[in-house]
Amino acid sequence: MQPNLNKQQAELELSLIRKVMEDSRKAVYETGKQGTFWTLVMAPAILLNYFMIIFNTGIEYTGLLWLAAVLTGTAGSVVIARKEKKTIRVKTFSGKILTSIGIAAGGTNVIFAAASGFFGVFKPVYIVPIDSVVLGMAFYLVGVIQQLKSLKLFAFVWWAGAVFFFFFPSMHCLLFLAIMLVFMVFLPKIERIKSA
Amino acid sequence: MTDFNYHEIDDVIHSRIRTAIMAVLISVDEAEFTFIREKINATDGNLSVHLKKLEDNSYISVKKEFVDRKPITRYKITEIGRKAFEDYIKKLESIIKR
Repeated sequence: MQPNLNKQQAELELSLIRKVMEDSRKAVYETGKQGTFWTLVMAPAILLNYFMIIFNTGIEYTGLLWLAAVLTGTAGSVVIARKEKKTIRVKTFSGKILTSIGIAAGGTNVIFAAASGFFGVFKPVYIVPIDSVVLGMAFYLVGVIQQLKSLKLFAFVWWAGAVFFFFFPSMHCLLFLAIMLVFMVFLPKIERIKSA
Repeated sequence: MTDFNYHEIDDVIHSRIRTAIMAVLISVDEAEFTFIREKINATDGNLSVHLKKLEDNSYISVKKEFVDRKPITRYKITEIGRKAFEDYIKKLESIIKR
């Protein structure tokens, strides 16, 4: 029997295709576990560094503290990535972009921190505002891709903090960074992992 | 009369389940068998038959591997498949515009 496809059937067919495509595109398996782990390592390191400066104790171990934090963060990220590779059921382009944004932002911040902390290219007090600019950019892009207004809003807070500490540099910017990381990275990520 | 001549339409794609498989695979880079099954609500046997037909026509490619001793089958749309699906969509749109 010769099948005929009329206008209504074609419309139905197209709407089903659209529905399946939209549903599949939502499957972005970006749990954000690596970012959460980095925050878990970085926030205490920043706080420790802040108290070292405030109480003027153990300053000579600052380099060692950051080296240990970066190495721990990197090693943990690699372990998490390997585990996730085994359980991932679908790969999407947007998932790749989200992962790339995380890696790019993390790598950029490590380079800026090393340029100042280890090589003295600029004053260490500007590490935090520069890192905040980069994090703001990362939050904004992730917010656009995942269509999350809250993340885009967080981006503006990162940028506002960055502008403030560019004009009023102080050691308290470390406290700002630690608090921002906890409230704007760690807590939302836990929420997202729970709902995933 | 707006009936469509079936000779002009790709009969490899023109099946509800195969259209749905193509719609899933065009939206992602690659997907596991279980993911496709979940998205289109098909049984294992039925899905395998239709995936095989798409594979035989080079519309999709298959990658089989073992992860923690479990067999995993991943599917990906090919360039031929992508072109065929785009043509199929264009044909549907042309029917609607008539």
